[in-house]
Amino acid sequence: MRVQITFYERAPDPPPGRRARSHRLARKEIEAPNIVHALGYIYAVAQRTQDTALLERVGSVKIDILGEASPNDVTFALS
Amino acid sequence: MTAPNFAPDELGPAVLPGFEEVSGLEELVAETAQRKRERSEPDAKTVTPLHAQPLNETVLTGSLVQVDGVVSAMLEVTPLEKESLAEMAKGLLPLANYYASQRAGVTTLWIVAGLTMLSYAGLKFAQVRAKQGALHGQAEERRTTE
Repeated sequence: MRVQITFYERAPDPPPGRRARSHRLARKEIEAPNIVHALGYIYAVAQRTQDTALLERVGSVKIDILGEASPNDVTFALS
Repeated sequence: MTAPNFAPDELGPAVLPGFEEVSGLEELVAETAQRKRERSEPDAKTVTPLHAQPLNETVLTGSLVQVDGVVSAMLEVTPLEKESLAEMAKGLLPLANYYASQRAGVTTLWIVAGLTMLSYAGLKFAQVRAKQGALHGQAEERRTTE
């Protein structure tokens, strides 16, 4: 399945009543056989990053599955 | 997000294979910014140059007649004669065509349109003043007869 991984910057605290708006840092599309592979990709990116300050700026990571995915693609068991 | 502080094999075999070529976040950020720049830059092959087209006198006169009709109805005054509007269009054409040939751009067209509207507004203002003057004269006349 085709997966899009987006790294978002940690959003500053919004004014009261406003929703936090996070800025997109980086985006990458990869071919992943399952969701674990996508998680592994995120892990690998974090591991190869030398700039720890940049890494600290990441507030969230979103995984978007592009197109259709079967249940086997998105479920996994932890052992 | 903090850097992982455990050995890769702790994650198990499922997440390990196939990531030899994966780059760090620095490269990924640069790559994303580059892609964004490429998307925002217009493709030179697809952009067609803007050619200056001489303005048509009939079209300009027709537009002025239309606008005059609408504005006259709003202001409740008699529409201007087509001849005087055609004269106005004739007077504006050389200037409009000069700008269109020298600097082909939307800004020029807006300037020309603005000039046209300005001269038109002047004519209409004169009409309204004349109408007001006539009404004032009638009222004065009525007052003196009473």
